[in-house]
Amino acid sequence: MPKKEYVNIRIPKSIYEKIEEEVRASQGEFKSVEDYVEFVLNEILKEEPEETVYTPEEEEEIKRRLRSLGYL
Amino acid sequence: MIILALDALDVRMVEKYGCRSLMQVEYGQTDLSEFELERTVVLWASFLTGRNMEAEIPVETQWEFTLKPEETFLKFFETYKALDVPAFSLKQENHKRERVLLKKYFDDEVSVEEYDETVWRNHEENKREFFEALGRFDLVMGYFDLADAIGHLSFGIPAKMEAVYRELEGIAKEVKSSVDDVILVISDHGMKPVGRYGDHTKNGFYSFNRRVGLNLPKITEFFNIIRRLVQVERSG
Ligand SMILES: [Zn+2]
Repeated sequence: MPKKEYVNIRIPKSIYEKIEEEVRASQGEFKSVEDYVEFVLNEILKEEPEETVYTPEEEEEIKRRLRSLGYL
Repeated sequence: MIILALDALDVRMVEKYGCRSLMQVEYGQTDLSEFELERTVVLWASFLTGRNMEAEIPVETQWEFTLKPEETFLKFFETYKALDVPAFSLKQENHKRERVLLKKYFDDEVSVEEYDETVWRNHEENKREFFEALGRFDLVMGYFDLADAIGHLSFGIPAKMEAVYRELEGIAKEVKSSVDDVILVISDHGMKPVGRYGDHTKNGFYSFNRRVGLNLPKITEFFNIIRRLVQVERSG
């Protein structure tokens, strides 16, 4: 497996300290603040956008109907 | 009398979102089986005249098609306000703008948000004018295309359609609380999802704030129903 590359990012100290508390409270589930941040950001990014539920066939069908109904 | 003319208001959607003020005392589906296509202008013209107008209105020029008052049930009223009514007083500029944006959406020139924004703006304009007219005429007929226009690009997106139905329900509720008159809520046709989009169906809707005793009425039957209601009101 290729080694993960990392970059540095700045966050407010107050947030860092809150995360430290969360890591402590997790009793080993999170190994570090970095581990916690990576997990949370991954969760947010994998949520799917709501509006991509159509196919080109449906778009063609609706265009044809809108044409016969006089909208296009 | 008040007529809320709500384009594409679908009987199943009214039930799905539990829109009590739209349902009123008596509600149901309209019978559109005699029409080949559920064309908006054709259906409103047929509602207004009590005749099936499908053969008389070519699709190419339908949006400009305009009836004379004496061809419609408006003649039964001494004073009336027909706000943005298709086949009678349609706001050509506003609806043209919506159709241009619809076309541009499919040509990838505008986003659905830009299209929606124009539709909602036109809706707010009609809403203002409608409530200004309430109580000042024997008949106020207000037309709102929100469910149709938003539905065409977003019927398959529940959050958006719920907002549309909540809005129309709010209008019906406000009408009910501000007048003591016969209220008819009626649509030209219903709608079904095609992916994220929406297509016209025969699930039209009507409701009255009193028992009239209709069962699957044709959209052309309302001409005589309205005539009778006016006669009853005059005689007492
Ligand atoms: Zn329509």
